[in-house]
Amino acid sequence: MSIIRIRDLQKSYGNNQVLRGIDLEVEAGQIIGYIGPNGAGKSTTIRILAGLDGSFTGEVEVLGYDVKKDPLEVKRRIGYIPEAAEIYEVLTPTEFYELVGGLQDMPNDLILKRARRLEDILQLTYDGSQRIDTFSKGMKQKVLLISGLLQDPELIFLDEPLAGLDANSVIRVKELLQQLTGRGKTIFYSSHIMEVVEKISDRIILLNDGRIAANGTFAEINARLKSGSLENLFSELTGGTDGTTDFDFTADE
Amino acid sequence: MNKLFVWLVGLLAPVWTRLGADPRALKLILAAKLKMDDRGGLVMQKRQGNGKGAEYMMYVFVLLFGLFFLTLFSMTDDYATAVGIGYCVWVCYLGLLLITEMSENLFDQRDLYVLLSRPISGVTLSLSRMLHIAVFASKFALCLGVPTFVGLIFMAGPWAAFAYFLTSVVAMIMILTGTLVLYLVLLQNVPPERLKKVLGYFQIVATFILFMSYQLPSLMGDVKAMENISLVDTPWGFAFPGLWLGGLYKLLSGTPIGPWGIGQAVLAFGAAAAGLWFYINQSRGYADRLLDLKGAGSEAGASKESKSGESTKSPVRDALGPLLTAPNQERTSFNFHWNVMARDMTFKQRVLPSLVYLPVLLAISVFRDVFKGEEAFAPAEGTMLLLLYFLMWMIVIPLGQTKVSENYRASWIFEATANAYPERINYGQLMAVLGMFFFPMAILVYAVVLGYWGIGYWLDVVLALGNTLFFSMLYNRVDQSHPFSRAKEDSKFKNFLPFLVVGSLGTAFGFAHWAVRWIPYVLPAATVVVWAVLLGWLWWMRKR
Repeated sequence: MSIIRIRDLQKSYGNNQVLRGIDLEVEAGQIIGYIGPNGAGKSTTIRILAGLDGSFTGEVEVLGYDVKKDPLEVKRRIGYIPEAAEIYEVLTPTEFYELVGGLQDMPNDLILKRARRLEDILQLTYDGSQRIDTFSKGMKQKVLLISGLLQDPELIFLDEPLAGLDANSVIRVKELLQQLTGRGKTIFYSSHIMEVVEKISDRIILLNDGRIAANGTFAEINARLKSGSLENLFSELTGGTDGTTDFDFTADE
Repeated sequence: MNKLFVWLVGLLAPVWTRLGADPRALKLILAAKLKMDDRGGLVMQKRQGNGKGAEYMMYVFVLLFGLFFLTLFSMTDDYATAVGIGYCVWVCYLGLLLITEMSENLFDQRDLYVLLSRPISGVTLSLSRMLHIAVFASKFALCLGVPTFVGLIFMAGPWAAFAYFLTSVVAMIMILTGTLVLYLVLLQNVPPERLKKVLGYFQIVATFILFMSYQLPSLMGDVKAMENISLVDTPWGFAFPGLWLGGLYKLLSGTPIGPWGIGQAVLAFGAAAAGLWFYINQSRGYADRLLDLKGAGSEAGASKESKSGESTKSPVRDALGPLLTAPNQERTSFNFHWNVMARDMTFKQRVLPSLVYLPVLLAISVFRDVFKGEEAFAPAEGTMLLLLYFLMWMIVIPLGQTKVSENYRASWIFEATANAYPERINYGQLMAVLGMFFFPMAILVYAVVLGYWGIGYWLDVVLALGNTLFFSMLYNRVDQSHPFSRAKEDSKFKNFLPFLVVGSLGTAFGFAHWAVRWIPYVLPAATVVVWAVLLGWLWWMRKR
């Protein structure tokens, strides 16, 4: 059964058309690497899938719910961690978890129990009364990740989840994501770190100029283009190497 | 308007070069900052409003204040003294306004890395900040000064008006450099990790003084004592910088002037020049100190902070929460609002001065005649109603500010989470504001009312309480948005709008209460109706 179903998704900001007709189906229990150049429309797609933006054309269903008609039902079942998201920094992590979990009507003891376990897995340590404004960027990112996983969502949208994390934390997060898919969760994951996407994704979707340029396992896409690595493949499909032979930008001055 | 200021800055290019700054960079930085001032923030790809309506209303208010200066010319024939008294108000008002509204621009470190990585001198950076603040202050100075300028054209001729314009420019430099030097001294002498806190509480005190200064004229007593007053060009003219500017005006306008007046003119000009010189000379290491300040918020500084960190425990919150809210989104919202209100410095800066000022204003209103020695203390029932309805401020001001935050982008969480009961967030928000601000003051006021006027007035207290809560909920409904979701920059003068709303509608509630007291049985009937509506609304909020 498809956990995400998209038909002819189009989205514009004023005259700027960001998504130009996306068709996509995603099965449950996979890690989907959603990649593309800057401005390709990745974050916009994720926001639409998370029920945060209803101003688009086309059909979008998440977990069987129409995101336009039932955004609340979608939000109830997903976890969403936006890129470079801010959090209320005058709160302690526990207070922040209580806010996020409380808004979803989770019981307090369950929020705290899950938060402690996730903190252990991600090795987030701090004094109990320490406020988030005293945290490093990586620690804040861990708080954000934990807050998105508290309700044990069936489908998790992650937009650049590894930003600001050190090498050890990246390993931990990768392990956590694989454990989650092992429990039947689906992870829809956007990143610019090609090595990580290549290693952990069951399926890769490459978005370019508002359209899907490639969709399949790394082996399937590579068999077609024979690029050797996801980085080369990305570059080939998005025209990343076009016009880079002449590096002297002052040549015609 | 902004383009005009940037153009004027461009015209003065030789001056900036002489001061050691890069005029082109100055113009570019200023143009960029003014553009940023005019644009709202972005949360989840949604642009926020920029609060222009409240800002324009504020200008109208200041213009009316400026018109009031014209009355000074009817009190005395000595125009230099009238102008000098006007400048005294300028100095206090603009100086405090800069401290309360613009401090963050002076200590803004967001653009520091962008600007410092470019070949820009410290003087250019400091001057760009000063000019940015000058543009802000000029708009207020124009509103304050235009009525006097026009008045002087008719009363004393065009040359006197031109002299007033020149003096106003010197006044602006004096006020700007005075404020900036004060901050520069703070930046130099207070350790970076403590500066933000010191600055926050300094602003709270300054805002309180600013509000209080509006009340001073009403306590002056007999206005006749001011008739034909002459301060400028006498030894009294040295008492306050505003009067020095009066001396400068006298000199420039060509009015016959004595040695005291010349001394005051020299002092005014000298203070402005010395302030400018000091600011420019002392600002050479300004950027480095700002970088230190930025470092104070980083991990190294933070770990020091956390050891001596504020406690996150709150017995009052934990006691009131279960009493006022159910253990669902209501409690979540209550705890969240309580925590942020108790810790967020922006919130404190915007709310605490108003709340301290209001009881003082109330005391002045009630005891004004006693202070002035005109009458014995004998408050009537009208004073009782004033006291009862005055409590509206205690809800409306903090409630309005629970929508504003420096950290406003964090409000994405309210959009991204599946909350089927959004009204419970509003309910928890209202209860947190009531618990933290309203109840302590209400208990005090109701005890005073029942103690002084008698227990027989209990129905008035109940009706006033119902009206106050109903009005606050009405206000909250009109001014609705996610908690702490509006940028501080987009919410300027947000305290002023509630003042107007409460001032008009709140007064109407008070008058209606006063009117129903005269018709038999209407007071209890009105109380029942108001409370029925109020309880119905609260029930609806808790179910939605």
